[in-house]
Amino acid sequence: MPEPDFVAFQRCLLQQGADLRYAKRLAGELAEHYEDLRHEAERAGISPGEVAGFAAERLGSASNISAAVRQRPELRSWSYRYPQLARLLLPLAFAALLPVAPLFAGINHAESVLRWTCCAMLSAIFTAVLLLCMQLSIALA
Amino acid sequence: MRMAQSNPPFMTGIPELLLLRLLAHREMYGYELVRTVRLTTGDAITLGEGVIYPALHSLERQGALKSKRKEVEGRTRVYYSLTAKGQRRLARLQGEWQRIQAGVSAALENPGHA
Repeated sequence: MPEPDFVAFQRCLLQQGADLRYAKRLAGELAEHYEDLRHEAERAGISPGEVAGFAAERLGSASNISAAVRQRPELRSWSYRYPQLARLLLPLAFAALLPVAPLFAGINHAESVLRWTCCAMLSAIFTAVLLLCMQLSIALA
Repeated sequence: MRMAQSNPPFMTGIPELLLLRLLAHREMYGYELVRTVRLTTGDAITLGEGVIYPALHSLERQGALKSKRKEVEGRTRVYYSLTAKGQRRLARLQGEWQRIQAGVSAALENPGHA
């Protein structure tokens, strides 16, 4: 049995409507549980080649775990639980956020914005110096 | 998952009762809970190890449990414990279970009595 892919499992949870924080939390706790099962197998003297298979089998398949999440609506994000409300509120929220989106984008990419600003300022200074030199050479000629 | 394969359909609600009962005794993390259920029930009830987490998280969202991350022996684990709401829920579920158990036992012992 292959080792469980917790990142893929997290993606699957997101696709079925779990919110990001919950998907991360569940994948994290399952990964910890998987480690405990591996230790249990090692303590029980199971051969190293079979440890991963033992732990993965005991943990259960990703489809069964995601089915258990699907059965509990309270574990899904509010936009999946109240789709009509989400359809109404999300466009309004996006419209309200649109004017400040460049600010958020700037904060999120502060390093790139700073680099771009420095480059623009340097090129402006370079152009100014060049123009000054030309002006001086004309004046002195 | 093991629970679905090995435990019959009338087991619905029993895992929740067991989880609440064990957590009323002391706080535990997921792996510890599964192992304790297996040990205390003599392997009669084998909870699906991965599916225990949605059950725990659901109880937490409903306010019956609370969780905190703790570092023990160099590893961080999420420990679950019962809240006051969980205590009340446990008392209600225990009462229901005892009533059903008494009814089923009576029916099994005296099937002919109306």
